[in-house]
Amino acid sequence: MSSIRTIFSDIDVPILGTTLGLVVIGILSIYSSGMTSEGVQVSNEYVKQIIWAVSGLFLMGLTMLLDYNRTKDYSLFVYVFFLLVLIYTSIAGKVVNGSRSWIGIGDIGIQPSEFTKLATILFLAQYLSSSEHVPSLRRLAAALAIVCVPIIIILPQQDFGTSLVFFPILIFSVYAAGIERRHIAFMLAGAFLAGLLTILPLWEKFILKSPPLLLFVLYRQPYSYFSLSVAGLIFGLATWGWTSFRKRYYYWISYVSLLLAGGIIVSSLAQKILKDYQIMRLIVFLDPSIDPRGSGWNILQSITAIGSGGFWGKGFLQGTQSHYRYLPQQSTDFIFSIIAEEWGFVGGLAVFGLFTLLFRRCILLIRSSRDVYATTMVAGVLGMIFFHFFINAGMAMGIMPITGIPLFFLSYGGSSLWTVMIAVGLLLGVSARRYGA
Amino acid sequence: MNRRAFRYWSVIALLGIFTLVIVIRYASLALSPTATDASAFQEVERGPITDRSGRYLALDSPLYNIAVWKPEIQSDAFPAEARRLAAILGIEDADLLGRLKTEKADFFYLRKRVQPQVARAIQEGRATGAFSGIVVEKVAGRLYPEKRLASHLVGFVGDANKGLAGVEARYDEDLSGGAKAVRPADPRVPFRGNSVSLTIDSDIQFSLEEVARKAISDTGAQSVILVAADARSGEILAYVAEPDFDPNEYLMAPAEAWYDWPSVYAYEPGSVFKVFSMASVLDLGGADTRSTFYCDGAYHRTAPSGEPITIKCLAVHGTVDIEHILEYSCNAGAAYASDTVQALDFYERLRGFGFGSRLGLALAGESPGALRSPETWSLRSKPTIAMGQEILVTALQMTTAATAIANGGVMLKPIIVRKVAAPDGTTVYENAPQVVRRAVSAETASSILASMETVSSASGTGRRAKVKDVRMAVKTGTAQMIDPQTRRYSEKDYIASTLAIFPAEEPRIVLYLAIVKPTGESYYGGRIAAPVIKDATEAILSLTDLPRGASPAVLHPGRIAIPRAEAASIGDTMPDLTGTPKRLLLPLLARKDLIVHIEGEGYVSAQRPAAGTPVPPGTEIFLELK
Repeated sequence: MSSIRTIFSDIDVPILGTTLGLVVIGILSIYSSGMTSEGVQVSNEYVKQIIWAVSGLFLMGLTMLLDYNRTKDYSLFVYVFFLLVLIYTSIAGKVVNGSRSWIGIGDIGIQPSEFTKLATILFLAQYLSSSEHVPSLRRLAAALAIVCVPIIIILPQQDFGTSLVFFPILIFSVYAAGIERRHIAFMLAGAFLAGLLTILPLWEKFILKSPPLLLFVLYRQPYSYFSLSVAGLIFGLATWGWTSFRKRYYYWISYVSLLLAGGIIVSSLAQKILKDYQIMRLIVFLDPSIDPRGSGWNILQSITAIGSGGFWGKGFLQGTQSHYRYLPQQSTDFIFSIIAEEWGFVGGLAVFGLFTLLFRRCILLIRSSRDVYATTMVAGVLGMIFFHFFINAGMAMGIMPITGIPLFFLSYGGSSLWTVMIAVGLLLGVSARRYGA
Repeated sequence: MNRRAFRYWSVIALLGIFTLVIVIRYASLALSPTATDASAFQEVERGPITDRSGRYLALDSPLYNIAVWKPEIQSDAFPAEARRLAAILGIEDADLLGRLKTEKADFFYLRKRVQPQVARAIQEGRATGAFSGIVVEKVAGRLYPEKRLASHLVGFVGDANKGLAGVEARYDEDLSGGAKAVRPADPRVPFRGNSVSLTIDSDIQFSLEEVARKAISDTGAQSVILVAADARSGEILAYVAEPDFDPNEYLMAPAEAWYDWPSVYAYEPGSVFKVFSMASVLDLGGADTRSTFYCDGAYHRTAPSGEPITIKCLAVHGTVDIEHILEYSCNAGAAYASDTVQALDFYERLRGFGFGSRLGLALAGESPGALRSPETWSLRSKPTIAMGQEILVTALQMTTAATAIANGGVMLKPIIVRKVAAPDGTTVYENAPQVVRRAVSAETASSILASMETVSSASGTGRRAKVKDVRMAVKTGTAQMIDPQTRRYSEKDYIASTLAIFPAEEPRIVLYLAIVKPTGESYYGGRIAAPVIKDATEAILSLTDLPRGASPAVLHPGRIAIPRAEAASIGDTMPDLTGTPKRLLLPLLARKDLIVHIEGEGYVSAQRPAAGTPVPPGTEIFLELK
């Protein structure tokens, strides 16, 4: 066990540096976002963000000091605790921007779903590291269940985007924990197929008009029933062949036919459960250009802001798109657009550079650490931060759907800032102890 | 490569690809110069609409939106200011405070499109530190200085200065500069659209609107349509529909008032149509001016099936020729005359007059009317059409068809826009008089015209239209309207109409009037429509240089010769603006580089600075009007 002093002397300077750099840039941008066209500061969000950042630093240090080898046994309790808080929120939480995702403690509101991501990462890592001798498929199923519980609680209350973050966490974690690739591929392909078959009927009805390829045999009744029986039959035969002869190709035939059958079953169930307008919302989520007057406006303004920044930017506090209030949610969802407008391509690249540096350090940590728990946890954190980064930046540039996913470190908001700073604390803890133990 | 290394590198590759996608997209957005942002928004100044002599019917002038930006509202000071603000805006201060409480959004509008003086009052307040949080936003506004004049033709614009009706809508592309125009490179230079000059003569338009308004109050009609065209060029000189509206406040008018009766309303024309049916019969050679028909008070014919066909006439007219048919408006005679020609030929001639097809005048919603093709005609159709029923026309079609009678058989395309000019005055395009086709021979046209002259004689139905000393060719009509409920001819709803062409010896003006659903004691065209034509003709004669009777034509323009209404403009030095009427000063208000204050109504009586003073940009100019 290392002493506090050695821990601090072994601190991972690149991780700490990028974190501090990004948080400071975030505070400056939030300051700018509160400025009106007449140069009047109308928001105290930046003050609050400074308070969150300073307190977040303490939490980060605290997390780093806790030895994950000792605390990992409590991860189940943390996970269950936050699930209970989530359930409480979904019943008695405050409604903000149409989703019941906040609970208030006095004047301060927090979003438990943010912290639940961390709790899930920890419990997932704990489970995967303690189940290395369990068959790969069963581990994957258990990991999927761990992730699905919070999703099921969050999904009815919140936007689709928030619950999506759990999928990259799952994928990064199971990949790092050594689950077999074909099983992960099966899960991904199955989810993709089921989702595709769920939305295709409406997509075809309202948008495409002409059926794409021959896929309709998989979702249009009664063809889908024939397809299902054929796939089921092939699966039965191939499984019998596999158990009798142990030939590789039997395995893969049953793999593919099960994928098809599963996709058809899940999608037809989903179509029965989900209402048409819910599926339409899913389609609009994937392709906002279908609904240009809704979310399309935000994207347009954001792209305009990014484009008007040019190479060198307009300078700090000189952005017009934000100061004339053309950007919606400018201190949270579209903070990147402000940075791009005021600091230009150079500033945007600098932010990307800081993120890339952080990701690189995470990958190096995964490589150098031999502890499955630590590896899986770091992978989960990497999956979470990377997904937030990719989706948010992509959204600001109009190539990703609009979600309420904030840009970690930069976006205004105490819960997300604390979450990511605690996550960085975990990284720092792993980094400082990787040669010890 | 072992398994672990593969996992490691595959993650790196995946993250790398995703990051690269983002960076490439970012680079293409940030480094492409096409995007414009809020600060570089270019103002578009919509081009003006003028009448034929350059009088402004529509022009741009800035208006202001007043809004609240909540974060800047000082909650302690605001309630005290609310009363003053409410007074400036003309709203209740309780409403103002109430909205401040109930509005959820941080930014909301208090009033839109207010006049500059309201905005100035608020800006002055802001300069002294009051009204924190009240936003004054300049928006392009459209001003119609002549108010109701030719409102259906001019049309109006919507919120973003986009044309919604009339010429404003139809020529929106030209007026707003359009996609093809070259915009100034400097975004701060306001971009100006082309100007559209109409064929309308404001004076004639104004007089005929007065005449129509009087007609509507005399007859209690639902609507009065009055169109005057230059018989030699096809240019529309007046385009009147009552009820009308003030395009400055088009939202205050009921939507029915926007209805563009002359081009959109299609109806059965009644006896006026005999002008064109008889011209067709004459031209086809079925009958000549000496042919006679016998009217015993009805038209009789036996169908091949043995079934008798009878169409009633208004009276027993005895033996009539074509001239008498028009003079007495004899239905039976017109029906017998139509029997002399084949249905298909008759149809072709009427199509030749433009009935049943759009004129291409290109106003929104223009109706083609309705003329069914002969294969769907019944045995009654041909005689009925000859009397002006079983056919739908628009007032504009009637006017246009009449140009053929006035012009020796040659029909002219109706023109409403004379010229479209670029902001620098160069012509973008001009509409020259255009021949559509020869509808009938010159001979036919002149004999119809001669017959129509007898209509205005003492024994004709059009005698009340006659203006002394002017030879007039006239035809009146009274048409029963279809009751949409019963789908039969109504007993109480009529359209009374009159067509006039004058002077008959050398036609210059075509005048067409329709009174829809008169409610007075009479509904006959000869009784209620013809006198209106007389008033309109008097008005036109007094405003033009048309000769009156045998007296030699006095070649003066009919109005006091003010030099062509040139809008006031200010160059490098201050001109002498004394005596300039207010409406000619309006373009000055749109100048971005000068601050022009206008006090009072009427004509400029004093100005500051004095004439000859250099005027650098930013100069304040004070004009006092009396």
